[in-house]
Amino acid sequence: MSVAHWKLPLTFDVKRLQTDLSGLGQQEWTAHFNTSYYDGEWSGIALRTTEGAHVPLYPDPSKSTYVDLEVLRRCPYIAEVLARFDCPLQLVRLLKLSPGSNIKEHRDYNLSYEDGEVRVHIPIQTNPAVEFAVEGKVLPMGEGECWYINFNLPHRIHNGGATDRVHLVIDCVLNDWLRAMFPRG
Amino acid sequence: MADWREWVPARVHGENGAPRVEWVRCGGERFSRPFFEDTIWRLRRASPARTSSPSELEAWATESPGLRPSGFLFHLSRCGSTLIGRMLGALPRCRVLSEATPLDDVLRLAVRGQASESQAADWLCASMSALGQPVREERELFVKWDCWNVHQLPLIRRAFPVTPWVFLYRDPVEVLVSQMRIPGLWTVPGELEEPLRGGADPGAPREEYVAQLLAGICRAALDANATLVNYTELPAMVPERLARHFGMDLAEREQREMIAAARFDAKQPSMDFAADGAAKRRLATGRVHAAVESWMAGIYEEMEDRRKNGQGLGD
Repeated sequence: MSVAHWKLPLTFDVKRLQTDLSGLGQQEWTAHFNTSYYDGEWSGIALRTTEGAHVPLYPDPSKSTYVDLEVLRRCPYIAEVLARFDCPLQLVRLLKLSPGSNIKEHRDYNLSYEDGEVRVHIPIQTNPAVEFAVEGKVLPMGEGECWYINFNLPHRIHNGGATDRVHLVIDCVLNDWLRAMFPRG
Repeated sequence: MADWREWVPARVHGENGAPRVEWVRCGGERFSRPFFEDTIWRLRRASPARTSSPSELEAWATESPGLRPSGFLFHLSRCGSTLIGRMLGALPRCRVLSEATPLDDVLRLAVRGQASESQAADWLCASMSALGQPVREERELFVKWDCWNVHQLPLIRRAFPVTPWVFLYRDPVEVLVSQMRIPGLWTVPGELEEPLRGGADPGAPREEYVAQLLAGICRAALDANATLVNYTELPAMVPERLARHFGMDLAEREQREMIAAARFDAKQPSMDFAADGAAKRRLATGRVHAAVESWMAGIYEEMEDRRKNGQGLGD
């Protein structure tokens, strides 16, 4: 059995997530590299990336060692959230989608539970007009919740609201702890 | 025919046309982790898989017959079945397959009409044989099925008519609380084909749908005149009445080993096993209670009544 999306049995404190977010400056956000995928503004801040990456948001594919970045020290609650994940963590980012922005439908590769690479999203700030759709189905993602999505499947995101949408996006390596969140029976 | 020594079927794919068997290298693996998939996941990463047609499975079963199954465990999910698997697996003589995907895959081929009942029964036997190749001292094979497999008991009995089996269940509030807290993938609407839903309505609210699925599982077990075991009887009866039911003759030392294995929580080996019924009941919401009342209270009462009046394993 494989799933397109899965809400993990973990929830986090929305206020404390937002407090960490509010401590970050506008100039810290970097535009997302996949410019052909989106209209509007899609930007991010890396909190953890490969050792020595020139632009932290783009990990060096030749490196396998990931390190926490200085900015994570200014996000004490997010650091606590990451500590709750008892599995190896790779790239960790905050991703922001500005009002009116649109990420066109696309697929990623080798980014699924079956591949052993589990990307989870924790919405920190969102609004009812955000549409995060996987295989055409809009997911009811709430702030503080933790969602796995199989990004090998076609997905698109649109922020139709008046406020930024910010997610904490964590790339996890599947291990027994994480597997227990996806019980078969 | 290829030599499948040290290989084990991991999947039987039926998605695109003719079914294909995916094999992974297992060299001497006892499958002692709580779930078959835990082991398969590791093996798949360690070396590349091979594929074959199902006829290779059948040829391999003739060439190298595996252990014939000594006991089957059907269950309601979240009710101690993993614990029983762990207790049996504590003995080097027992090989335990816990929710082995290829068996479910073959059953699903029959549900979807991709294999006739007789074809599926043959492939089920051949898969069991390939999965039941004994390692070291193993001489008895046990299978803990996926909870929804009970709907295909007639097909399973056709393939294995003499294997003793039981149905394990638990207070439905406790099961439903567990399924709400960390849902099983099978409870997602759309995961189970209609014949495996036992009449449950995927459009119903979540608690209701899962309660209906669970009630359907109980009904299928009762319809097949299951020998009934309640979670409350665990773990003491496992090395005694259950072992006897499965035709095992255990030395006292083996019984002690099984009980020692029960002291660890079956799914989280770091936690001691403790009957956690009271804690689970405290977590139940009004919606859980209402769903149990509507869909499961009656059938639970019926199971308890039948278990205490001749359909259980006695005292």
